Amino acid sequence: MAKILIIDDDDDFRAATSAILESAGHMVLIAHDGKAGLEMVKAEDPDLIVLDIMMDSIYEGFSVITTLRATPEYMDFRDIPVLMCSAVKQITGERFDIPAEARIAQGDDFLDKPFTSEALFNKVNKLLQA
Amino acid sequence: MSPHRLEPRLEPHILCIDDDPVARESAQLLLNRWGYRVSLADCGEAGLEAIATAPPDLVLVDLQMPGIDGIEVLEWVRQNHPSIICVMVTGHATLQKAVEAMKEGAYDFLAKPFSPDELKLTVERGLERRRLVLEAERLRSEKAIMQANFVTLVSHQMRSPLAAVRQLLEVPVSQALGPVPEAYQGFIKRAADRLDLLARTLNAWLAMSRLDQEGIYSRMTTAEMGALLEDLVERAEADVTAAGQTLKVEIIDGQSLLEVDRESLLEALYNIVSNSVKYNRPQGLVTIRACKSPDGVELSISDQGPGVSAQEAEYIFDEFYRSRRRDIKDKPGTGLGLAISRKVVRAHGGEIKVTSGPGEGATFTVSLPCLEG
Repeated sequence: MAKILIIDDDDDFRAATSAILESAGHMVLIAHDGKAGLEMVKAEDPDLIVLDIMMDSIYEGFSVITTLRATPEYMDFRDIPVLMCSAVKQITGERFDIPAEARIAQGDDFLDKPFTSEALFNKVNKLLQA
Repeated sequence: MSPHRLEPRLEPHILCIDDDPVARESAQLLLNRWGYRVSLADCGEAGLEAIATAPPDLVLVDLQMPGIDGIEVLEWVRQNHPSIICVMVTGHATLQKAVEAMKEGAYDFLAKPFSPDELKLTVERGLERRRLVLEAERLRSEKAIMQANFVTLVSHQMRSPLAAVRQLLEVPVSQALGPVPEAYQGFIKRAADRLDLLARTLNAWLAMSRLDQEGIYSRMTTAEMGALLEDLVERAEADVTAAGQTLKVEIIDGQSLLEVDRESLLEALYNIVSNSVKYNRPQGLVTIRACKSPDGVELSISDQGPGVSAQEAEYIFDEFYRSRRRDIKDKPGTGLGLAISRKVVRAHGGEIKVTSGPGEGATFTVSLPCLEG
C-alpha cells in the first residue's frame, strides 16, 4: 500500500478522493495548496502525488510540478509520479488542452474531474507500478 | 472638474477648421475662455491631418473653403470617427448647403455672424451629445465583455462545484466506506447519472458558446482524411463495442487532404457516431464511410435504428432539439451534440445532412471541402 499526497484546494474533492484511496488501503496525506504540498513532499516523501492543476491561480499545479521536477532543492523527489487532475479542461480564450500541457510539464498522467473510483485506481496503480 | 478626482480628465477638445483667420482666432479666444482645449486648422487638408493625429471631441468646420471643403471633412469624420461631433459654420449665402450637411450627419450648424452665446450653447449641446454617444459605446463593449466573461464564470464557478458534488457521490457509489444498503444503491446511482448528464450538458453548452465567440480557426492544420478517421474510430470503437454493436469502416481515397481544426472536427464526428450508437437497434451495425466527392470529401455515418422522419430532419441539428418520439425520448441526451456538429462542420465550409426513411436507419452525411492535390 502506498503513501499518496493529495494537493487540492477543494475540501470536498480532498475528502472524497481520500475516502476512495483509503478504501483501497492507501495512506493519504493532504495539502490545500501548492506551497503546503511541496513542503509535505520534502517532509513525507510520498510514493505518488495527486495534484489539482487549477488552485488559487490558474497555473498553480503546473508551477508545483515544475518546482518538483526542475529545482535542485527537490533533487531527491523529482521522480515521484504525479497524477494531475482538473475539472476545467479548457480555459476560455486560451483553449489549451490540459492533458498535453500536463505532459509538457512532465506530469505523468492526467484525470478529468470528477472521476470514478475505478478510473482513479487504474491510473494510480499504473503509476505506482511504473 | 472636481479637484478630488483621482484620474485627471482633460477638458473637451475642440478643433476649429476655417480659412478665415479672424473667425478661427475669435472662436479660439471664446472657447478657451470657457475652459475648452482648442486647436486650429486653416484648411480642410490640415483639419483632417489634425483629426487623424489627435481626434478632438468636436469639430467646428467652415462649410466653404478652397480644396477640401466642410462637407468633405464631415464625410471623412462620419466615416472614420463617427463619435466626433461636427458643427458646420456657414455664411447666409450657403444656408442651403448647411441643410445638406445636416442630412449628411452634421450635428448642428451656426450661421455667420453668430453671437458668443449661440456658439456656447451649440458647443455645449454637441459635447453632451458626444458624451451620450461614448457612454452608449462603452456600455455596448462592456456588455460584450460580460458575455465573454459569463462563459468563463460558468466554466469555473459551476463546473467545479458540480464536479465536486459528483466526486462526493462517488464515495457511496463505490461503497468506499463500507457496504451501502441495497435499497439506497439505486437512488445513489440515479443521482450520479443525472449529475453526469447535467455535467455533459453544461460542457456541451460551453463548447457551443465558445464556438460562437471564438470560431474554430485558432488551430487549423492540414490532415489526411484517412488519418483523421483512424482517430475517430479509435475514439468511437469502445463505445460501439460497449453497446453490443458492430463498427464497419469503409474508406476510399483516404489520402485526400483537409484543412481542419482537428480536435473540433473529431468531436463533431464523434458526436454523430455517439448519436448513431444511442439510437441504433440492439446488435446493430454502425457504418463509417468516406469517399471523394466532386467538391471535396463526403463522410457518412449510418445506423440501423428507427430512422429520422422528414419532419424531424429539419430540426434535428437545432440547439436543444430532442425528439418527441416515445422510443427515443427516454434516452438521456444534452440536445446539443448534433448542433455542435453542424456548427463545426459549417465553420469548416462544409455541410451536414441526415437522410432516412422511418424504420430503415439514419445516415448522416458530412461534406467537407478538401485541398487540391
